[in-house]
Amino acid sequence: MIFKVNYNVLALCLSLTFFSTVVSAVPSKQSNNLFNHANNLLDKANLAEKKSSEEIVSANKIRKELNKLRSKVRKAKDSSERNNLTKQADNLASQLKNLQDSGSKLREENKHLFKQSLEVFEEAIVERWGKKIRNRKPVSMDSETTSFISHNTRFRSVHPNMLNKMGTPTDNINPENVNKEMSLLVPALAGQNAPPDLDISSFQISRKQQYFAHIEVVSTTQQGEVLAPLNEIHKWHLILSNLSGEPIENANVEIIGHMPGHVHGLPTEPRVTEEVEPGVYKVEGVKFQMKGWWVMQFNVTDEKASSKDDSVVFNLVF
Amino acid sequence: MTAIKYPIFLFLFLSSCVFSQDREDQQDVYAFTSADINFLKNFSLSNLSPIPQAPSNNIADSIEAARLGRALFFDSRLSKNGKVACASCHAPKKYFTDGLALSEGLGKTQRSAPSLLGVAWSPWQYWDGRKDSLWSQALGPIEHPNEMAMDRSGFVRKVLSLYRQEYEYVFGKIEDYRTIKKLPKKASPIGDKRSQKRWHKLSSYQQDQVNRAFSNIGKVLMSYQRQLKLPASRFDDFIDAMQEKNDQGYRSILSESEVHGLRLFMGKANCFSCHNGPLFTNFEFHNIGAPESDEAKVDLGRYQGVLDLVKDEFTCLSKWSDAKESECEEMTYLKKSGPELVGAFKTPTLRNIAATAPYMQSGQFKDLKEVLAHYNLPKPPFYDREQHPNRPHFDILPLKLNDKELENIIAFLSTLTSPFPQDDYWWNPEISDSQILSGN
Repeated sequence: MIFKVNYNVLALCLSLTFFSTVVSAVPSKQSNNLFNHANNLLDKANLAEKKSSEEIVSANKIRKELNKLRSKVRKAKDSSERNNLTKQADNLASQLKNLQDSGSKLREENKHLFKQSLEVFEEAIVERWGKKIRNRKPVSMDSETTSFISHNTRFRSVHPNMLNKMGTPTDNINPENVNKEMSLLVPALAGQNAPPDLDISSFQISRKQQYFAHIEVVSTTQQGEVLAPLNEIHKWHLILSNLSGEPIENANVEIIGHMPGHVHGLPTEPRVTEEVEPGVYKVEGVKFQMKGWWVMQFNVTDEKASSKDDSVVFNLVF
Repeated sequence: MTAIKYPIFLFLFLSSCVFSQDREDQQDVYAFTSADINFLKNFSLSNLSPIPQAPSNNIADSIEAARLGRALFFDSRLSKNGKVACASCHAPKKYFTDGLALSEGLGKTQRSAPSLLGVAWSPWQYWDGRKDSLWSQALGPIEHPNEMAMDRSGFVRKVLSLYRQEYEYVFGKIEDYRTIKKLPKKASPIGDKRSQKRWHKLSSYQQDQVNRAFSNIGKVLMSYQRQLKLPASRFDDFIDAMQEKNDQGYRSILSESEVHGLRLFMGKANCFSCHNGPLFTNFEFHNIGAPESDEAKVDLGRYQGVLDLVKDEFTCLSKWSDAKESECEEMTYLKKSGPELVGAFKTPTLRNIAATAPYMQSGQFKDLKEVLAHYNLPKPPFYDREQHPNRPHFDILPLKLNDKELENIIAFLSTLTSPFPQDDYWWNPEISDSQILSGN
């Protein structure tokens, strides 16, 4: 009995030593817990979304029935038939209202849980990837840039007969975006109207919920700043993990960047040039020729994934 | 108490600025806030960033190379008929343009000659960006049948027979001059069929000798162009005087109409959006819907430029470049597709614009009035399913300005003309080499 306990203690000590020195890259208990928690939240969010869709589908069916009933009411021959049908219709209407209420409540719940799960995934991935993640803030641009050689306004592609309907460059400036200390009204400095509730986090889950990813600018300045420069080719790191915190290795990544307000893409063709360590990809050739709202999409093809055409999308507002 | 009062005062002051923004009836057009002044300083030549590094050209900033480049630039003996030099289309007195809609060398070209002032700051050369360096650009006109119409081998032979000493001073002794001397006069990989045939008969050693010297000649021409400095214009004087808070001083430099034009340029007309920085260009490619000069043969602009770049034998990534591969990022990550490339042309500098008519890539507009009329109510780009890979992008919005406003913008543009620097060795070919030697 005594021996047995000793063995157990010894095994525990050995495994602890082994754990902390030899394989320090293995996910910590803390990060595993966080990933589990995040997955639970995500499952709940998805369940709420599923239920909500089901309820909205049923609500739509009921609405159709209700419309039929109401037209029957109008055509009813006598008052007793009409009363009877009206009762049925009222009953359906209250069912419809209940379903709609519950559907939208579930949708709200889904949004809330989904947001929560992303926050926990972020904590988990930071815990798991530690040193590689140097900047958790949204990717931003150096606003003090002196060589502001860029064009920056809402340009778009038009059909010839659209021309007369187009406003002038100053027509749609949001007064909040204007520098109030200037007497010059410079449309090119007023920025683009990115949606106010846009998610600009540098941590995102893929469309098909197979990957969790993080992007950051690789610092080139001595101060260790992590700002994207304007009009200069620079590097990024893309960290790709699955939802259990395991790195996605040897993935094929295609990068597409564009400005929703301008109908144009990046001035360069950035690409992944190296997998620096498992799941950490070096992206080279990124360049932004103007400030404003950019969307960066990473199409990921991973041999092991169940669905091959998945992508992660990041919004950037400079 | 004062701590509370002050922000209220400030708020009232700021809000009054907002309401007077850019209005034509603004009482004092010269009244700029300190934020305006801080913004405007970005346009002065005194705030121009240092000339960009040129890793693909080791002698980019060598004065000796630039002196040789200057000599070659003005030497018409280096063309097929002995009458065309670089300076024929890039004349210093015309701010390094030629005043023609379509430039003429031995024949008529497809485009108008852009000014060379400020080009060292651009990552791409030509209207369509078909070259990634100034040295590679310089090689294009030499072999173009409508420009200098030389064959590569004959050109190299000629330059080295006329300038051997200067060349060796820059690049070191030519080890095998005998090979050069024995070259056929007419051999080139891009010339007519007979030239090409002769080129392919040369040994790869001979071809390399020619290409090495040919690219070196491009590099000295680049060194020359990097020496061209823009003298301060009235606009720069105005901005610089404002920085010094020289209140009375700056008011006398520009007229009221010019300052109205400046406000429109930065504001309502949004010219600043692409024509920005001290060189008044972002060096990007845009399609502004300038009319096609020949609708039967549309100009694909940057789309074609990219196709040419990919095939080019003298890029930053080539054997003739002095750069490491990692220093050629623009070429390595070249954007090769996208609808915005179709019919897009490089934003030209507006420096000296009033003195460099006609305008656009093939001189479609004869004066600034026509240019402004186009921006005021533009026609979207011509589109022909047969010729275009897709509907061209369109990059501008109608301005809907009145005649007075358009006049003011034109008045403002004239303030960007630099005085001709009569005593500048690099601008003035009449200053002899011996003079600069004693001057130094």
